[in-house]
Amino acid sequence: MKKMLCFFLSLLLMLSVIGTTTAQDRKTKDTIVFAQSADATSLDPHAIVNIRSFGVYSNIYEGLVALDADGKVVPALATEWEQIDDKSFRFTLRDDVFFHNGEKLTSEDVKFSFERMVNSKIVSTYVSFLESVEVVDELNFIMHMKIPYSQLMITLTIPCCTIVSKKAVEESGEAFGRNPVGTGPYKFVEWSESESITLTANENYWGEKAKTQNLVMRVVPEGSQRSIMLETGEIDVGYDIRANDAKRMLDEPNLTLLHEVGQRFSVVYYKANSVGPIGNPAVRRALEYAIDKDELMEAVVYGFGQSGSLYCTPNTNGYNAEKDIVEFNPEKAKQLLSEAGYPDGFKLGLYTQEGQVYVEIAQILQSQLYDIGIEADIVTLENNTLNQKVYDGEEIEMRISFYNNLAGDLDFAITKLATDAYGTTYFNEEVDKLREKARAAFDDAERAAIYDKFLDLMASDKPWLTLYYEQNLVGLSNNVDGFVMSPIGAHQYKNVVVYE
Amino acid sequence: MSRYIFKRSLMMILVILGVILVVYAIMDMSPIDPAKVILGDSATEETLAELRKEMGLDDPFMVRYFRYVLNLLKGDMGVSYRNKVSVATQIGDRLPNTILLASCGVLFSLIGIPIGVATAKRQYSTFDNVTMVITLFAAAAPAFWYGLIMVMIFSLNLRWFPSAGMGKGFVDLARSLVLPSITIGIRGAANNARTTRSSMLEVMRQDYVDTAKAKGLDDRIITSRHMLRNALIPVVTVVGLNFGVLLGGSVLTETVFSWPGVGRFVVESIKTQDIPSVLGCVVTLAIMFSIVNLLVDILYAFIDPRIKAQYKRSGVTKNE
Repeated sequence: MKKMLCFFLSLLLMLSVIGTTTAQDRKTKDTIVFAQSADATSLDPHAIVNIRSFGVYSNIYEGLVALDADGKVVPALATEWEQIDDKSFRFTLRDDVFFHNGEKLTSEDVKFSFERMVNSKIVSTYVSFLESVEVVDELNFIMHMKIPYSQLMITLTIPCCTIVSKKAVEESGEAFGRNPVGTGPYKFVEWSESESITLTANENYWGEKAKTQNLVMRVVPEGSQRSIMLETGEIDVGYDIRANDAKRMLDEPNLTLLHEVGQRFSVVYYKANSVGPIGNPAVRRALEYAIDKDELMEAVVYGFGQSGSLYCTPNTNGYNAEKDIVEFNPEKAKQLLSEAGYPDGFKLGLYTQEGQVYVEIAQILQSQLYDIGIEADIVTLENNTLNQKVYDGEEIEMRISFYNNLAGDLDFAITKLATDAYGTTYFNEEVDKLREKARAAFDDAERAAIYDKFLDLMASDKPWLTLYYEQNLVGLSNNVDGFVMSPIGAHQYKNVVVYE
Repeated sequence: MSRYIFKRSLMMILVILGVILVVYAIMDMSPIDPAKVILGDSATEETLAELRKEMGLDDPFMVRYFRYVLNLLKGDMGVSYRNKVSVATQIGDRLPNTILLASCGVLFSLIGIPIGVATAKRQYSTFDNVTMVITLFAAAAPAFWYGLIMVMIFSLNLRWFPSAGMGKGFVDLARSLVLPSITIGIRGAANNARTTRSSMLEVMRQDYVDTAKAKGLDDRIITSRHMLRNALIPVVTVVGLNFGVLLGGSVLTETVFSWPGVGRFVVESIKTQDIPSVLGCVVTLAIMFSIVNLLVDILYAFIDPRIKAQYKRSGVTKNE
């Protein structure tokens, strides 16, 4: 009996050894297939800023600097940089970078790229601070800014602020978006409209080369279909997994669900300059206590989110957890309302665009507002009509929306709340001053203190009502290794492998 | 006959011009501001105004309409607001995919015809009753529901066919066509079965069928030559209409199966307020639908010599 036991134990040991060696020697596939809900619009980083496009082109282009896994700015195409004065930075480029067309990267390409951004009607808003780029020599250049701009480095990590080949753009002209040429680990091969985009590894990449030869993006518009394709193995990575499929995916043994808060949050924009009750900050403060944000988030995104009250998500520069207070207290809300002069509540319009999530949020808000005596009338309008009404200054008391902070810095939210923001209803010059101060504060601690002041101001004025920070949901086959989520959806595949 | 076709073609042009006018007017009345679509919400009033001027959006409606029609005659459908690519190219890329899927769907739907004949021949039998209940169900359920159920069974569980996308190479393409073709074809099949059945029942009671029987003709010949050929006219109408509708791109099926066709392009364009693409699609679909209708009318002549004679006589009127 003992002998038998010994025999079986040793057999087990042997098998486990064999098991580990096979795991180490596992073969990897030469192609990674990921699916997203819509096709890219263009692969020209200076022509389009949408997640479906930069989800693909982030693997083709690179910026001067990049963000590491901890969200810190690290060198990419630029090896070093130094601040000359408040308004200028000197950069040095890597000497070993070649574009996919074989051209060497020089300061001229950088100058050309930034001038292209400034002239691009779509991207210019991200580089509005830029005055000019001065070429010193082939690898050195100076960036001159119109204003002191301490968020420069983080701005340079946005996918649309990447460097393109001057020669390739001049050759392709308008068609550059279909013939992209960058310096990234993958280069463009083929685009089948509405179907797929194929990239292949750049063999002349300056850094560590891509671990998988081919990268294919497939367009799969239907959410449940992306989940099914993960199960059947037709795709390796699926973006935008729907919240109701996500719960099921957590129980699926062959699949992994990554879910992390990104930089998008659900928000209600008030008409802060309304002549009605909603124009009164005391009323807006009361409403903050009237909404059970946890319940709302649970109902709308099945718990794949985080309730919050700030105007940026936890992974944005400027976020302060201590100031992110969520308190559901209808009694306090009623008390604050009566202090503000509305003991019997009032009526208002709750506006939303079409779409299941929007309408669900509207219905939950309506019922929760009713509990403190506010009768909200839900008005569903087509998005453009709604926006036009806002820009025309109509009485849109509350409007449900989502805000996505691509840059990962509070500065962009502040800009949207500044007095010169397009279509804003909140006018407080203090915001403009704080923005100016924060931009001029090159010391991180100093800037954080200014951002805190902004958050305090917002806590008292409440021009927006934040509901919850949304989680990005990405489904992975268990054979995928090395995938790291990007908070804005610009996922990189350089280090990703898929085992057979 | 050729005179008839010529006249119908002229009418088709008028119909298409009318369609463009209506769609162009609707698009013009919508609150969509093309400049804002292109530049996004963060654009300033000056850049918006500049772009509007550049694009000629400040011109009067009729000027813009005729400019569009003139460009259309040159094969220029404009450039997409969304990705700056020529609309004609984008439609051209997707149209063959939609035509392929629609044709396979219509081919599949033809299995309804023998089913209809068989049920008519055994009217009120159990076979007839059960088949009619099934076809009623099949005609009533939405296409995307079939799609999802079939994906669950044939892709997820049995792994016979890919669950989405359009395969490359003959074998992969054929495999990827099976589920979407059945999905878009199944309602047509049910409708064809029901139309064939009722049309056959009507023809079966005609005197010439009794005459044929009295002459001692074989039952199969009576069914195929005397009954079916006469019963086919309404069926051809139904099949033709169905084909026209499917050419418009079955949005839901194309979405469920990630099929890169025109239907999805229309929806994407509408969602992104890409007016030139929406207009281009509607014009293309109007042309396709008109052509299919014309082909169906010509087909009548081949099925029924009486209609052919009528076409020759009048040149314009048709018998449906």
